Amino acid sequence: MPRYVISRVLQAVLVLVGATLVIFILTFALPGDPVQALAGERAADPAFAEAIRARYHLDEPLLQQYGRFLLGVVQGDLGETYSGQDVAQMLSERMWVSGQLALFALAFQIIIGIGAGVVSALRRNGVADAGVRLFTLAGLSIPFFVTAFVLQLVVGVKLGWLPVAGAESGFLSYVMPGFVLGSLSTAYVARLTRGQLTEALREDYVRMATSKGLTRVRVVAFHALRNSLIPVVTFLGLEVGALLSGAVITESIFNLPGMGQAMARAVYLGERTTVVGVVTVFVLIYVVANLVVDLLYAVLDPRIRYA
Amino acid sequence: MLTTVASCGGSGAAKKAEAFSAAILEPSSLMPANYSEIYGAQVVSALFTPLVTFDIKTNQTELKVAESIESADNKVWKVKLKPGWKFHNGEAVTSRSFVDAWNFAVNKKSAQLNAYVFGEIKGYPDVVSGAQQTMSGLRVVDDQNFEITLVRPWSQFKQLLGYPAFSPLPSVAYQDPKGFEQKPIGNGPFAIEGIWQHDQQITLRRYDPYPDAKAKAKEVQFKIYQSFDTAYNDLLAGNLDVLPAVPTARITEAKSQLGDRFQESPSGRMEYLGFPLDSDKFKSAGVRRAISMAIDRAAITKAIFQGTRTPATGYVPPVVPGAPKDACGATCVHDASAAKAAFDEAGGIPGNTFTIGYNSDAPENKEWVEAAAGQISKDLGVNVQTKAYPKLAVLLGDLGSGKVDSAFRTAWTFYFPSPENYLKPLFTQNAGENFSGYKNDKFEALLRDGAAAPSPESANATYAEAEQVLLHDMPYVPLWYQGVMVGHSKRVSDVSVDSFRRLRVESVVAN
Repeated sequence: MPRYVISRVLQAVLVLVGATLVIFILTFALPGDPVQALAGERAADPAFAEAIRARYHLDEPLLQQYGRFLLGVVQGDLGETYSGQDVAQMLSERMWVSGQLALFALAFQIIIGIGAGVVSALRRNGVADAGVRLFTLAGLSIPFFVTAFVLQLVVGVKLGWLPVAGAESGFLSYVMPGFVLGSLSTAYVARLTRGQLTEALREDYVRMATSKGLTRVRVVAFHALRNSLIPVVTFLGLEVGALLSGAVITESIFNLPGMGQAMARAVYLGERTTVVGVVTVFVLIYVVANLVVDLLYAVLDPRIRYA
Repeated sequence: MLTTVASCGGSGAAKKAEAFSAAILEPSSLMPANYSEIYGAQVVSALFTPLVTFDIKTNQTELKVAESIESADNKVWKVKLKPGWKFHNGEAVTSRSFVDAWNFAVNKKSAQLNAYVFGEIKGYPDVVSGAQQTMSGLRVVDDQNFEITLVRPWSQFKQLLGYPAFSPLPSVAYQDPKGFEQKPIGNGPFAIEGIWQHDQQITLRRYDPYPDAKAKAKEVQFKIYQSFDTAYNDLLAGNLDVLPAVPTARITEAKSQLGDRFQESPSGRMEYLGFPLDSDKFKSAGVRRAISMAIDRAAITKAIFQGTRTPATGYVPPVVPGAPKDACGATCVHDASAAKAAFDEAGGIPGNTFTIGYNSDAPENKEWVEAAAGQISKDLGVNVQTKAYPKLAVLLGDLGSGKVDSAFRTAWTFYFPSPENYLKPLFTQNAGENFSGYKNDKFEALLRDGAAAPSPESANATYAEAEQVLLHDMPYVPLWYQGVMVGHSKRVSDVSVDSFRRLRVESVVAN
């Protein structure tokens, strides 16, 4: 097991270097001069442009800039944004916001998604099943930003139950955006769980467990569901990445100062250091999430072991 | 469950007495000489007070920190300061506070975006290049008096001094400019509370020893939004007090939902259709004037902009003191047959086709550009295409490097209220904003005369003449003047936005 973890970490480092290099090159291909983007509607003054290029080393060749970035990363320095903020510090503050949002979204997916899937599978073709299938169909077919606007207007503005936007109301600020961000995959998780569990319930080992006189709860929870969850966990692991990209839009709509929002603006301004910094964090999270998924396999199915 | 949520949600935004919140977008900077957009200007103007400001209604120049600003020749300007002005940290505002701040702004190492506005001060090129630390045109006489020498006479200089980049800075600003930018210390009606919380908020507290008219509210919280659509929802839900720019798409509902809490005021921003004059397609002034007559400004401002923009009648919006009335005359009024006649007389456009480029990152650009293209196609019998650029920076970059062979959408907002500010930066040779490559010696001679004029009246008369030259050549077609649409909550009153599109935070009354 430790050897497995070490090799995975080494892999992660390689992925990280590769991904940041690719992003670095891609940011050069972003349309528009970043100095002009800074200047807004006016043309950037040549003296200002020169000074900014020198300050952010934009006048150096690509590989030299990348080398400078890597050197900084090793020293824990991700550079600074064009408004003078330390990127590393900015990201650590924003990670907390995005992290809470992702946790809420994941919680919705796990609790509502798996819960609805189980109910649906156990009460197949009943009223509950029909209801779940209807809602999941709606969840899958309505784009999540539409859900976002509608909820914002109804729950936030009309009913006043939850804050419309911003992070200042703490826990409550994340309920609506978390739900929206999780909504699409919640539906998917529900359908996946339903399908897997339905199949598992027909398997011999389940019938065997039932005939041994185990309770219904025990059969479903520890025998059937446990096996059904492997594809669901795989999906949720990959979902972490989707949550990060979905956060770009959700954070903008709900005005949450998270990483997705920082990313959106950095891309717009052509702020190379910030874009690469955020992507580095994204890749790290993705790699860790995948590792966790792989390790969870072993827990769910003891036949899977890593030497 | 839901009832508890409801009560928490309602009290989430703490409502302090005499405090209010206003929506902004994330400022690019809080350094007076370094911001690029109105939200930086908004916060900077609350934190800093320059030598002069402008009357909110008339835009006439009013002395603030300055007791007098005088010049016999429009070239050497003597400034005398009022006593008693202090920064929020207690440091006195002296001649040095201005002179050092301006030298800092221009210094190459500071890399301040708005350094160019100091360009007419003697010694500017040496400091901007890094060869010198101080501009030779700035001379401190004593704590209350200093002198500014310009490279050439400029009658409008006093107005320029009201641009926030000319604000004073306390001496701590230079020790750690980066740190200062996160927590600026100014001499304005409000002082910052805590630091700039990026993408969240900036809280300002009234500065009570302020020697001029004090702010009415005790505290203003600038809430930073990613989009004003969200902010509008927050206003409806009662979590926001002032939204200084209601999105155009929501104006109809705002009018009914807010009633008299929705108001409109004119601004100094205007939009144009520009032409690269080097291009074979656009080198005829007659063709350019014909295009102007083919655009139905009234229809577009009504249908697309919901009446929040006013058809342009010249190159200078009416909010500017000394703006001539209806300078453009028939050339800016839609007349299909006159347009077609003028177009044919001027020889038309080679290939009978052209393209209008616009940046698609601003909300209504696509709609109006396509509408205008349709009108021009129909009235002149040419094939007008449109081309979307993903970002303004791309379009401006291409224009700057002369790569564009198409007409283009562009806009301008003044930085001081003088007709000159709508003429010189956009249409003089080699000016930074001269995207059309316009050059006319007569026009420039008139601008020089205006700069040397002995009185504001004679200066404005000369600028009006220069505008006529421009209208005849029409390097840009003036399209419309932009209004500001403000919405506010029931908790606040006396909400007004000036023609720089800044909310006058000091005059807002909060309950």
